[in-house]
Amino acid sequence: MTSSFVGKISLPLAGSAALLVGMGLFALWSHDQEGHQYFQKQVTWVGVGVVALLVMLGPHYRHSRHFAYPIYLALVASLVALLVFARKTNGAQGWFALGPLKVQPAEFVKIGVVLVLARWLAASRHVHTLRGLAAPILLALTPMGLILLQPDFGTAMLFVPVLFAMLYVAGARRKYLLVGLAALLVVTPFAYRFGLKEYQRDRLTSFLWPDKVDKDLSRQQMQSVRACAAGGLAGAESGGYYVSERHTDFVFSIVAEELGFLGTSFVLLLFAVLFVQAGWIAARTREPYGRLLAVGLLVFLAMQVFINIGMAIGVAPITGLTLPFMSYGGSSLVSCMLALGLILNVGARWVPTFSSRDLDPGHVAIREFVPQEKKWL
Amino acid sequence: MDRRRVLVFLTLLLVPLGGLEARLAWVQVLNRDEYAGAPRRRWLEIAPAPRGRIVDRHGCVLARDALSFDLWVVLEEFEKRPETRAALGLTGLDERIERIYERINKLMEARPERERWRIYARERRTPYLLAQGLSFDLARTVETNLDRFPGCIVRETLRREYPARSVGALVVGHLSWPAGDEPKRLLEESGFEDVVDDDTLQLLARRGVFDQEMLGRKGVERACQEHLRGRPGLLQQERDPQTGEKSWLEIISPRPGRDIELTLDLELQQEVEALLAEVQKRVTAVVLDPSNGEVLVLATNAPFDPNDFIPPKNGDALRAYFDPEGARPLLSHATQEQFALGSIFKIVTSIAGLEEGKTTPDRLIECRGAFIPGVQHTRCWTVNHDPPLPPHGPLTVADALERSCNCYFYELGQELGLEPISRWAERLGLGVHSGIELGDIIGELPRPEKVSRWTASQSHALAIGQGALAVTPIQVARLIAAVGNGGVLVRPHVVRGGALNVPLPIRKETLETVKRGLRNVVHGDHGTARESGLAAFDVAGKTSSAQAPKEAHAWFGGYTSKVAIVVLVEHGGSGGGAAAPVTAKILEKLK
Repeated sequence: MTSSFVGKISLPLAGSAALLVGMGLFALWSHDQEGHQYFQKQVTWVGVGVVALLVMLGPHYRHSRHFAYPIYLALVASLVALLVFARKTNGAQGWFALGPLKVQPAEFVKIGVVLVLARWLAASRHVHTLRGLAAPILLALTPMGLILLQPDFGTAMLFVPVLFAMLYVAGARRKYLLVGLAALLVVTPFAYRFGLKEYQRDRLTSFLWPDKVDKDLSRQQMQSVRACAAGGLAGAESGGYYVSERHTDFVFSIVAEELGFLGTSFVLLLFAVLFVQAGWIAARTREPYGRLLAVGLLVFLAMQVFINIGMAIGVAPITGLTLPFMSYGGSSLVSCMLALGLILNVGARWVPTFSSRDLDPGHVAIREFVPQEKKWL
Repeated sequence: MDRRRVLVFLTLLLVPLGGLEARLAWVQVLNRDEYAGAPRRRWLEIAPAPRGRIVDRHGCVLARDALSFDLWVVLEEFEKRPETRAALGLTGLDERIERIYERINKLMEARPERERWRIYARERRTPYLLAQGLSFDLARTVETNLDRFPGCIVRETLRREYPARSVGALVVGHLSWPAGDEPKRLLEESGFEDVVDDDTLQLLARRGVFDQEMLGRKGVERACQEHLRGRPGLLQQERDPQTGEKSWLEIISPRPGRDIELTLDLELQQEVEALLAEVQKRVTAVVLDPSNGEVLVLATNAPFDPNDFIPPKNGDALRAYFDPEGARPLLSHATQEQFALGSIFKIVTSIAGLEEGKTTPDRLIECRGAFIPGVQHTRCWTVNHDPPLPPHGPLTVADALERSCNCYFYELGQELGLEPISRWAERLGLGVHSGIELGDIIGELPRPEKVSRWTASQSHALAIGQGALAVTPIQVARLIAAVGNGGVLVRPHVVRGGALNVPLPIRKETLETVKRGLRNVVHGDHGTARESGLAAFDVAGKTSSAQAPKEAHAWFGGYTSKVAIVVLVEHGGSGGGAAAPVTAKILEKLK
């Protein structure tokens, strides 16, 4: 890593992520007044996450192409293994116990799917045809189905927008995407009625009809909303509201209660900066694999942000999705750091290229970029 | 692949973010009060509801809640001045403080090492209950000289007291701490969830608000728990935002428990208990009003004092009560222990025989001493008597009852067989719950549908109340009352207003015959109870010496025009010799 490479790393992107991690740690610190156990564990995980991020930054991101399929297959295999072996916990079997650690493969499958989709779409010449869409859809739906079986409806749901976004950016025809979207809209009610378990339906509907569903679930969300409201403009003294699993799924409500509207706006601003920066990296990168990588990862992060925050303030269903960079939990944090590392990597390897549209006469470094495969043209 | 598509989708991502921001502004700033709901961190206290009183039929108090003072202590303050301990002048204080420290230690051990000192410091600032039932003088001294007693807090509470002490304790019962998930259940039933949210409810549960309320465990205290208990109220501390003054607001007003009026006659009960205390063997006496089943006296000579269960508990006494080798006074032998009945059952056999047409009032059956020659257990008692008496000879049913002749009833039992005897026994209240509120057992009664094989010798045994028959004294009292009141089965009850009379289908002639026999037991020339002192009273009855390990149980069940009495002297020997004299003494008190 040369100093020029370090200089190319997007500071606003890395900085906003670092501040978000900091906000998350702050929330954990104030949530767990006695002993700060979550805080201490999370600090360790931040360390692991930073290492993971640096590892992701090291080699050129294009090398990841070679690992895309092995990683993808390994993760799909782990999902299958999970369904077969893993013990039942809380009605869902979503993690492997590795000694004292609980590893949630689903968190990493997201990255694996983005890698493999980016690789496929970057190399495919048939994205604009209907047949060309079959393979990427299959690649995305396989792990999604396995995660649905766990059953983890929330995480599985994320794959749909990611797939759409990546197909769209890769150049799929709008006509097909719109038809796909319409088909999805038609299928959804049936899937809702027949594909979901009772408790999953309850979770989804609890924010719409809080009175009709399981008292505990809607209460959890109601408490979260109340805690958020209690924060007011500039935050309030902590305490009083009891939200179960608050340090993981409802970490946003801690910030909202402690720091108020100003604090939550700051968090949203940080996410906005993160999105814009990552989006800008995707936009300016002309190399399709890198661009698709950045887009896919960004959509994963963004969807989780929307759903999680929406859940905390009562406008989205309870799904058990974590808030990127802020929620307590190793798998979640490390996978977010990995994603961030990849996006930063894509950004840092950017070289200005000539094109009819964005001619950048200030740079002539085009010759540095020698693609190994030419399929993507 | 064009950049425009990336920018389009980036814009799409920013729209929901804007939506979230708008929603946050709506929830947190614009409509904050509506969403935040009720004020947080309400401080709630339980307002205890006094338990109802238990009074006897004349209004004498057997149990009541009295105002009492508890001493709570904040250890950190308390131990700054070592002389405070002595100044309180309470005994066993060191031991109790040690116990508080044990609890703190237990709390600390449950937490990781580095938190322990903080738990320790916190608990030393938390009030702990040090002593209950403080004398009024001490409470006043502490309250008015708080500087002399740092860390001491006096709180008013209600404390159950039983002024009659052990008198009537079998009926009154006792209290004890809630156990298991009872505090949780009490909280659920408190009705608090209508006025506070779930969080507050959980907070109350964590604070253990119902851990201190004592619940009925035995007797009327348990049977009438719902009635006596009432409903605790809920107080909320409100803080005036301007002045900062705190005040208590009653969210739910406590509803005191209702009083229970017993059928017991406390004075009589006390006299009977004193009288029974002189008997060496364990003795149980039941006095009923035969017209309606009101229990006037339910006494034993193994007393316990329900006050011992109320803090400060009497540990030695409690250990003795629960000692399995000891007298086990908490187990009511009147209702929850079963005994062989013996000859009193002959009343049942007589009624069954007369009603089923197997015998008539005039029919004579000859007693030859041995019913089946050579068979040990079919002899009349005269043969086993020391010295042996001549056989009874030919007897009517009334004569047989008077002399308690076994042979007559062997014959009658053999002719009747199991079914009619069993049926009449059940009609007369044996083998079924008596209906008393104290929770009784049903004893044992052979029933045709339950026994697979029934032999003549079993009929012989059952006819004289032996064999597979076991009864409680309260059942016997019911049986005696039914004969005494002219064939009405009453429900024995200890709470006023619980009467339930069921007329039995017994012919007048049958009852007359049986009653004549029972009257002669006391007043006849050959009556088994004629020498017991009972003859001085206008009383009829039946003795019973029921075979039991070691020595026979001595029974006497009798009635006058006003009462039905059953006395059981366990392993007392003969009914005429041990139980009937006790009955006579009770009748003396009744005069």
